[in-house]
Amino acid sequence: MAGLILCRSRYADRPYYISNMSVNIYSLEELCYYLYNNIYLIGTDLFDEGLVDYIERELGEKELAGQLEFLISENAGLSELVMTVLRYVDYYSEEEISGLSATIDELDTQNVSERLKARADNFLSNKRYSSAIHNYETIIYGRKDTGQGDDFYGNVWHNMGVAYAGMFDFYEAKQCFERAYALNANDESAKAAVAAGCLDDGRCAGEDEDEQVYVAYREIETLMDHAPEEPAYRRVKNAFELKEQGRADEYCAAIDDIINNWKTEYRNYIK
Amino acid sequence: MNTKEYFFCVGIDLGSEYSQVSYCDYQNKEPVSVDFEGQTWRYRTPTVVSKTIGREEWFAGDEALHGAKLGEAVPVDNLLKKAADKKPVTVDDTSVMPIKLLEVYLDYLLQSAKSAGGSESVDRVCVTVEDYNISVLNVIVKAMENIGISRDKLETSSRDESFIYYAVSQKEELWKNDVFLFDYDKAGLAVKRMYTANERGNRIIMVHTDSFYDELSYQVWENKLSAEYLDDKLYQLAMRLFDRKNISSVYLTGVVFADDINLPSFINYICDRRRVFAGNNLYCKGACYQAYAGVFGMPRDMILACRERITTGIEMKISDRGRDKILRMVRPGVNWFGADCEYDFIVDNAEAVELFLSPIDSREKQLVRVPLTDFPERPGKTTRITVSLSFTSDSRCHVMVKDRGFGEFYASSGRVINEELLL
Repeated sequence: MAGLILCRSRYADRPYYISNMSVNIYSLEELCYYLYNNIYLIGTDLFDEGLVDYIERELGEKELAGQLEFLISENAGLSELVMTVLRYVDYYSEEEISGLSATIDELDTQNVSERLKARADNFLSNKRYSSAIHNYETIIYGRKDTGQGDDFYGNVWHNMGVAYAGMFDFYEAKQCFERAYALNANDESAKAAVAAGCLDDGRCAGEDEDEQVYVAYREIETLMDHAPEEPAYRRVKNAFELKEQGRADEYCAAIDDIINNWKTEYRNYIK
Repeated sequence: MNTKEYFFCVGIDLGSEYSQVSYCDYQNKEPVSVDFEGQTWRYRTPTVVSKTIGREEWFAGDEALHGAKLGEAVPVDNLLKKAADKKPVTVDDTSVMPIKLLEVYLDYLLQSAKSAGGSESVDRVCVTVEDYNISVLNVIVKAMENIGISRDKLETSSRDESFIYYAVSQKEELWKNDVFLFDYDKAGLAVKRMYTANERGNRIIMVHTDSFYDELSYQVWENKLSAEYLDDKLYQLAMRLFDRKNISSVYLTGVVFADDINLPSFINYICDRRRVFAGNNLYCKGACYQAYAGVFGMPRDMILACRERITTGIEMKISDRGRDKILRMVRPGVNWFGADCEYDFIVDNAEAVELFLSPIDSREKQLVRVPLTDFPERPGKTTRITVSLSFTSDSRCHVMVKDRGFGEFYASSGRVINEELLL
């Protein structure tokens, strides 16, 4: 429903820092937005004394702070904590809150490993590679979940490989994909291992490679052939064309821009 | 409705030459004027401050004049005008900001009231001024803050409002029909008529003022030889103004009506089947009644619609937990100075801020749309806006809509939309 929603709680002068996403929030509406859009990334650990204190002192919402304090003392689940905040603030509609509730309930029914993986997968899809790797490692090196089979652990290794590859650490990525393939016997993991190896040492396929490896190399070559059509590649190419035309200032500016973007992206990867 | 058992309210009539102060408390619900034991009128004190020569010592009122007469102090008058001009004033070779002068004077008045009423604190103050303009009012607010009276404890009012508060605080039979006020002071004669209209269950109280400053100037009264002329003029005027009107009471105030009133025709006429009262602290006591009403409230059905009061309500359509609702931003009947307000909203696919103007004398509401198209497009509910209303008179409202972005998720564009409303 379209309209203007009255903000009933104050906008704080001092923000609350959420380390999970490295983001500052200044209002209850922003807290709701964060919870709603990052439900896979949050755990009950978000609702700590610091947040409750912030809600009470900076946002002046003693009632909500009191409710959360009680729920925390009773070891309430994530669903209850999130729903308490969302229902307190007039920001999301009842329909939206109910939809999220179903998602959280699903998360609540998952065991620790599944939830951790869902959380890590979400980091991965948001290109928060370092955080994703940290969560995958917790699953792999933590207590073995007997309820999960080799497929599950294989997929965790595979996704960790994707995260390493995203950070250009192709050696680690290759190790992960190989471990993944050993567990899940998935062709995708095998191909990814070959690709990571190729990107790591630049070695091309020889005549003596087995058929599966040979096919993987061919696929990588095809991708590389088409790389010039990618927008990111074209930006670099355009920049070098400026250099060839003698437009040094524009060339330098374009290169600076590209490098700065890469830096920003990479900093985000390792946040 | 406040149920405070102990309270202390102060009313101040801040004049350019003289001022008055009154108080009411839990023992005296009716305002009591502070007795300054002045030589001419007991209940007024000159609007003057003075600084002791060579010392950082300030006096106010009669004491200020006394020190000046003895040659020990430098007097400063015209405090309101100086305050509005905002220019530094040189007193005893020292440059002083005019707000400081007003602070000294207002503090003196408040201390006088507290001392007379035996109170250590003040719950609410109302200051009434003749020249009700934003420059003077802002300085009064600031000066009051500097002496510990925060904005939420302070009210300001025009003379019309003080008159209304005084009149409606009397027995209802005294204001059931029209109420007239003859205010004959140094500026000349002004006649105010207070009347009430019933509109959709509300009692709307209005004041109409006629000025006769040329026809009945102060000089006419000063010339004692023309006493008969004055009496006749006032009599003729009263006959004209009272014609075909039901009048419950008549008040006389100002220097002309302060002493023995030798105006037989006029007095005989106005006293005929009407209650007539003469006094010189009506505005001051009216301000005190207003301060009292600020603590304990006014009857909900009473709407003041005199000058300086906003007669058009401003409402806004909002979404409240998915339902359309109306948010009343400005209630009709409030003084424009102090009606400023500010609200924050989350934009949920709305294209405009929709304001409804509802005049008290009409059922029709006028819709004013302030489009938000100048703001950047963002996903739903990720734009916070601040809608501010500020008034420069009872009929002019400035609407400002600011894009606040959405924290660190979406930065503010810094854009602002401005709109003027004529009420």
